[in-house]
Amino acid sequence: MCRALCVVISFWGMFALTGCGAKKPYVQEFSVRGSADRQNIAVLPFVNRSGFPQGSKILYRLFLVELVQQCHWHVALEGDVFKIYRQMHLKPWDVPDVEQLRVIAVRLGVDTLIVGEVLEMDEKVTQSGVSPTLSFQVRVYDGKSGLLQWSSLYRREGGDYQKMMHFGMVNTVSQLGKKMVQEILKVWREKGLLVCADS
Amino acid sequence: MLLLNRQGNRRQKAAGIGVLLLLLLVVAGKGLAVQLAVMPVEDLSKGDNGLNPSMTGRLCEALIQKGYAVVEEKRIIDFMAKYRIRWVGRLDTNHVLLLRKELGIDYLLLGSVNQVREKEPAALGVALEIVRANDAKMIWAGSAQLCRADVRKFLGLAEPRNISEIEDIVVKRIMEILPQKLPESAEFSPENLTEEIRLTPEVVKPGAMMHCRIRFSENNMRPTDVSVSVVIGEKIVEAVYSSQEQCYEAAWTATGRDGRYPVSVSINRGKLGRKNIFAGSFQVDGQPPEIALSLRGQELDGEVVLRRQLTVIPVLKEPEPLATWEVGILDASGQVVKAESGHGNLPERFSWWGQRQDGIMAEDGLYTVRVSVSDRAGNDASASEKFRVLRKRPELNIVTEKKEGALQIDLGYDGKVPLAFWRVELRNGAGAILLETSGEKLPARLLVPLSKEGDKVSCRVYGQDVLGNKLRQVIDNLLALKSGGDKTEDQASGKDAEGNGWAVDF
Repeated sequence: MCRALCVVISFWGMFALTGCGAKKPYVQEFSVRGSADRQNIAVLPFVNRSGFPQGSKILYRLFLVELVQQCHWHVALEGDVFKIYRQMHLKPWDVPDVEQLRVIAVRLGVDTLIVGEVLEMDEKVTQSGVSPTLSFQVRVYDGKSGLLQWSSLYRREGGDYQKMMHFGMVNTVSQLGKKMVQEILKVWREKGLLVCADS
Repeated sequence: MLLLNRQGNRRQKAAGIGVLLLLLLVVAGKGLAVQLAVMPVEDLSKGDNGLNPSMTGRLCEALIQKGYAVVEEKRIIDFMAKYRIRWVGRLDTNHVLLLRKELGIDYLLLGSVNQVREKEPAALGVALEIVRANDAKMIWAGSAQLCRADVRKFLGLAEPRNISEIEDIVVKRIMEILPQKLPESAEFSPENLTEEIRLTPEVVKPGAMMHCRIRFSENNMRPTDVSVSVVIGEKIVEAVYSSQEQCYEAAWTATGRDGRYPVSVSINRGKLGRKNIFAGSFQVDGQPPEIALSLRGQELDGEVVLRRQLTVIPVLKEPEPLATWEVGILDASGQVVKAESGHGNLPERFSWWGQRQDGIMAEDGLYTVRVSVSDRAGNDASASEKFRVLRKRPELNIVTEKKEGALQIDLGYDGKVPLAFWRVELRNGAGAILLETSGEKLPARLLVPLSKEGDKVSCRVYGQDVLGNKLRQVIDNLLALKSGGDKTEDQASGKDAEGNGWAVDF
């Protein structure tokens, strides 16, 4: 009886600890990888297709923060990006074409551009807690050619990070976004797509 | 006694010097402290350009406690007003450099409250960026999020109770991750010289003028130090400095075959070297768009006819973005009875319900629909198609004649649109049906026996032409009709039995 209980507990523990750890951002590579000395990047305004108020801005800011914090890259100021958008008569929700990407890269003095789309962002507040959901796609372009280099698609829910009871549970979309961005950057680094200044 | 007095004076002097030194240290310390400007914190939960003064204040207090010399809020607001900065949460390089020049700051803190959830469980998310003022580089960024559900403690002790307490914890966490010493750098060496490069227009006709405007940031360039030229393929056009506009301007004629031409700007800074910047491209387009119209409506003898609605589908043979379009309906004399125009691409289809611009229904007749377009280069094209408006109700010719105690009724029709069907009801004065008949073809002859002298025969004719125009004629007494089909007084004066001459449909 005691032995059986131990087996059950150990199985439950394994499940609880591993959770959905196997889930990783999907990365699709398109063109030749950039050179390792690339350290200037611009994050262009994200497109919000989720309907969540300011969803694109929330994820945009989190991406900026994580790029600076994790990779120590020179990230173009949001103000500079918006100024060029204004000068080029581009709306923040417009996705620039190849030529516009090249012009933006030259004007900002960057060699990599990140364009993102928030596909799903939601926060369901129930009596049992909060269940945030986030799904987004990020595309990375070469600034010189304006060509797509790689893209990532990622979807997660707050409960995916739950370890045991309420531990590990993610309760806000901003917290979920931060974790997801960190994971995406980690995968990019592991694949050698993103070379951080300190690595 | 004298000795005691001297000793007291010495002590007072020493104490005075001590206080003075302390004051000097405080002043010097304040002068040496890192000058930081905390820009008003954006609040995304308040929509576009929302402001969070509470978080701005809390951050200022925390940074002062951390040893930073924070610039007064009023000075920052004055700066924003002076340079017409109407947004929060972001600042461009030029403004950062100006901020440094005017307020003498070392660093700049930009922040945004990404998320505020007031209802349970309350939550808050903040993202901050620190920009080094002398080179406008983002040197640090961090974010902190907290939900009340994240902090579950035994018996709920010391859990944050409201959003204000969550704010305190978030600010504390931010201060913990903020580095004690921020990285410094040498003076700003402008890598990006240009503040603005504007190439206009995007698409031109051959022979039209192209313009390129290059503006440098006032912080990094003097007009005497630099020469600017615009390179279009093998053609080089020198840009001229306009002191009025404070920018370089180059103008050239767009020549050559239709196609796209890349443009780059060459900036020569003498000893500092030359730099080429890709400015974009322009398109030469001398080909007017080819447009065709397809009309969808009822058809009669190979002609499109409007009875209820006409649909016009414009088709560009080679699709291209358009600048403007105009659609007009013209009557037989060429007068525009209805017009509409717009910018950008053509709508997929236009529908016309037969109303003129003044709201009155257009009369029957031959009309023309014309669609004119202009592409981005200004090349014009138009297409037109004819159609007919036919909405007049069909009307039968009714001729009666008394013959040997019976009434002979001849029905005839000479309208342009063939009849689909007709039906006649004849009733006596008591309302009893004398004859009811129908058919598709006309003329037709009907014979009704007359029962007694002086009785009347009422007639109702229903029908529809092939276009759907309804026929309805009511004659109170056929016997009162003058022989040979002459109309009664009522009919002659144009009074219809329906009494609603305007009714097309019922």
